[in-house]
Amino acid sequence: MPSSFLRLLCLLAAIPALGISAERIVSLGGAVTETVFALGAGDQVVARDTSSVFPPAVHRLPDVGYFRTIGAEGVLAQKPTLILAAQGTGPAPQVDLLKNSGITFVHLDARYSAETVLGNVTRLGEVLHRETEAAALTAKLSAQLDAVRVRTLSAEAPRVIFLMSMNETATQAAYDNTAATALITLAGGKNPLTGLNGYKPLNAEALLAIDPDVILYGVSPMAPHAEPPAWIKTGTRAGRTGRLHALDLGYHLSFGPRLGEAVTEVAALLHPAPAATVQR
Amino acid sequence: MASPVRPALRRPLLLALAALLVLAFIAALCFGAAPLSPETLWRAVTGRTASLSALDHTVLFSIRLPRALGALLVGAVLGLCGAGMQGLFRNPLADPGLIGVTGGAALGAVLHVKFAATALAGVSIFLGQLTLPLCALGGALAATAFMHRASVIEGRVVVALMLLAGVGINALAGAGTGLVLFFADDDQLRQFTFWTLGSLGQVTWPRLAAAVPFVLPAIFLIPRHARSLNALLLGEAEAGHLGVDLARLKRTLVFATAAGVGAAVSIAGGIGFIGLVVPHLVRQLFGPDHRWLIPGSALLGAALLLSADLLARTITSPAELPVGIITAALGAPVFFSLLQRGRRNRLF
Repeated sequence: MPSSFLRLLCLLAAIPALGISAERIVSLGGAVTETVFALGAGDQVVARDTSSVFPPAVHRLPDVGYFRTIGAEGVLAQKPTLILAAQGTGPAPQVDLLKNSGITFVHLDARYSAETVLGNVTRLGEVLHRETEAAALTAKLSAQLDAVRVRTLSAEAPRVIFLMSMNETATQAAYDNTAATALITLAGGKNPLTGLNGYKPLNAEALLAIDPDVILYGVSPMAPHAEPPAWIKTGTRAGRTGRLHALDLGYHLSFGPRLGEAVTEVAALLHPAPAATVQR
Repeated sequence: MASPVRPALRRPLLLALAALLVLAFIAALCFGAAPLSPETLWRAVTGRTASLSALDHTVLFSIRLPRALGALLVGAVLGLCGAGMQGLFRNPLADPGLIGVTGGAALGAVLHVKFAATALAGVSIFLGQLTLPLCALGGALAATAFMHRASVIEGRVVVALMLLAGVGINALAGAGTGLVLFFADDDQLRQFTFWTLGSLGQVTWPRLAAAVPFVLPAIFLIPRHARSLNALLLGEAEAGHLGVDLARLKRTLVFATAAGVGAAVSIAGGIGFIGLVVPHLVRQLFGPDHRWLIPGSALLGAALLLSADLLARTITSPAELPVGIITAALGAPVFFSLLQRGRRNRLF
């Protein structure tokens, strides 16, 4: 009797082990690493890249360098069985070495869109055999994004500018194809700066002429209390009306599994609830 | 000036530099992020490669070996061409970048990064990953050819004019590079930044094979002009009286350097200070005789770059530092100490 019970116990214990063989994962790219952990496969990650800073548990893992300037030998030295790499992992010759090494290499899209984030969650769910967790996560993300869309649909989109880095005379502002512009759009705002790609210098005079409703600026997770210069605080309408807000570059702009929370928070900044305004 | 060694000691000293290079090369193969046991290495050396694990085989033959050969080639050609340029310009500050090679290569590289997916897509299908190095090389050669034309007066290449034309070309190429970068997106900017910092991580067998033919003229032609460069130390007119064909000398040196340094820069990016500092160091050891200075610079340049790359790969392991940081950080203090010594001895 006890022996058959033990056998049953062993069988039960073996089920997960049969279905999910533990991988040794090297995860390259902040959003990819975050998704792997969000799906509950964090214990299989053996190394990460420099941009992978969340959740805090990743800091105990070896860092193989920034994912855009990876060295193949450093990755192979971790003896991975699975390499997960965000689009943009490079340089190309090193990536080719990894692809030809016989280790499973999965490339993940890194465009700044809700579809990409949802697609990556589903894809990683399949790769890591965590389809249930992935389905739950995409359902939650979609619900959060839909809620924001419904709430901001009827409201007029405020004109929002994102500044990456600031000093007394010049700033770097987000144009097309940036995480910041994608985030502003998802949160029901509109970036008036278009026609150029990436982050480009914007001089003070142009900023005053555009006169945006809201100014968002990026702060590094390492220096969360960085202040914008005085001329932005007092010289712009957004600054004077208290519509100057800091975003955490490692969270709000990461386009990972916390996108739903990030968009909800930013939408609340762009479309403050009427009740809150009345109270004031 | 520290006194150079006695003439009788030059040959042993050159052999010592060669030994240093061999040691640096062996060390580059032995150490890295992935630990390889001495036994594994011995099996590889004795040709029993079939018994290596797939990982060890990849690390040794696809990663470390092409990279070490790349460092050797790039370091040697930068040292060699640096010595040649300092001799040609009779200027201790001349470095291979001065003739527009680096600026032209950077412009070629940034144009490739910007247009790889659009205008150059058809070319990329045929050349694959060789497109970037070849674009950089094309930029280097075009800039140098332009510089060479701009410095001819009545059929004679004027060295002082060549120096100024080089400065002008670099400025123009810099403006072009800046303009393309302004319209680039984030990914393209990052790719280019990585390229300018310099890294031997880009060196693979096909790229190495593509660079070798362009490096060979520098390796074979520049040492053969050592005597002419010695004569040139006396002055252009004097060298002419000694039977040196000045026009040919200038043309050969400039184009061999452009091809060699262009190829080096194209596979490894901007690696600072080797071309400038190594010939100075070697001059301290051997004196100004180019017959010793040129091979010495090649050997020391190669050994130095191999060692710098080994450091770059291992001190932040498993991550990698750009090797340009290490060469500049090692080179600049040496350079300042040379300046200091020159000031003390009233050489300037």
